[in-house]
Amino acid sequence: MTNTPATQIDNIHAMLDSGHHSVRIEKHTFLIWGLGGAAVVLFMEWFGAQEFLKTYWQNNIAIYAIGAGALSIIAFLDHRKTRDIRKERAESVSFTQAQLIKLWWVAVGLCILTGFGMAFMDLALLTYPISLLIFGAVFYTHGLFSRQPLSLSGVLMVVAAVIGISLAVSKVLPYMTLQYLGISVFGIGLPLFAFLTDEPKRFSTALGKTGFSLGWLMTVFLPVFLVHFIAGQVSTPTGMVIVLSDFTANKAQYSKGRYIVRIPSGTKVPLMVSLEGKSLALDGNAPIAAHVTADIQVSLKDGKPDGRVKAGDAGWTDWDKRGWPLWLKDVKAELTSEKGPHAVLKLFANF
Amino acid sequence: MTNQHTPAKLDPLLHQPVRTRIAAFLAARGETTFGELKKALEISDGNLDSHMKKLVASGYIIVRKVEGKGRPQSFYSLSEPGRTAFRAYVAALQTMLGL
Repeated sequence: MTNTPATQIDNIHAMLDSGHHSVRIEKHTFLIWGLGGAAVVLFMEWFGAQEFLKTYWQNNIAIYAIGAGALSIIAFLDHRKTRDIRKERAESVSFTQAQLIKLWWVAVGLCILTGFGMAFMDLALLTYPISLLIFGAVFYTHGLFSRQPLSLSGVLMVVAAVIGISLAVSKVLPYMTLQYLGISVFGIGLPLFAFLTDEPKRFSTALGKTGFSLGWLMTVFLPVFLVHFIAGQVSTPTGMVIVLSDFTANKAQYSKGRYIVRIPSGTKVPLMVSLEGKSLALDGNAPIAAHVTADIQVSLKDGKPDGRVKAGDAGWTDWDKRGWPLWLKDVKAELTSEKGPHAVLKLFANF
Repeated sequence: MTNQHTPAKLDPLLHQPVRTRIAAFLAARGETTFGELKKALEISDGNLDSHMKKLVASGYIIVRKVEGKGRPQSFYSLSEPGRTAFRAYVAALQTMLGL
């Protein structure tokens, strides 16, 4: 075998290529993930249809917790089986393969997180958190093959998205602020990562990483809260409080000036629903009788709502800035000899 | 001439075809077993063993032994000095070839 520089370079290229292409998925991985994944989806669908728990919230939290737990068990079983087989064959798990396994888990985590988010939010509202999750996964991937602490950047972006979704679902922040979070993470958070990658030694210890993470999250969320509180400042209306029956009975009396109309809990509210579709339509003239479940106060100026509204014990908010997330949970259409054709639409209102 | 063979400037330990290939494979793969190396290089046990002993003795390759059920397993990887030496060797080759 010759060892001229050209031959040696060729040898090096061939072996680098061989070393890089060391990733292999074992047969059992397809079986475990395929059958296990299908079983998890079937179980989640069945569990969701049974409505074992009282509320929509509890049911969905239970479904996704069970799904995440089951997928974790599948991941663990696959990992252990792969390790045992490799050991039996006296083979190692290459660096690339080890990193790709982590990516696999990240992908599973993203599926669970987006599924969970979509159970409580319309997909349109999830645009910004999903963007953060995807970019977080991309940064994490870069970090797996880099000496720079890029994985931490990815994890922080995912954490910011999860915190954002949690704050919106638990109504600490309105859904509209998720776009402020997107702007803050990209506009402030990403430039801050330059410090992390420029001076990796400074943040290499557990204390350094924790300090950076906390500082980063605070810096990213502070403007979101500031913008929310400054832009969302709603002054308390000062008009006289009148009940709904008084307002409807004396229309002329309340057509000028400022008043607050109180709509008591239990009041019937006709919902005028319109529907357009290829095989089903509703013109919106037939009201559906909904009812108010908490006292609502509406501020009026010259007989018309001025945008300020108060529900239950919550503070005054701006009708337009608040956002009114409402989406379809389920549709069941049936045809029986007793009732004829009929459909049940389940809607979920997060306000 | 740019492709003139000047072994005096090259690391003598790495400037040997089998050992060059071992170092390149480990640089790409990370950690590997004796069996995987043998399969990738397509050489005999004895030949591989003799080269591995030299690389381990020089400190270019480190061995991690894992105890468990059955025979203990050995995993081989490039040490930091080994990685540095390999990079320097590749750079020297490229200089010689005018790359």
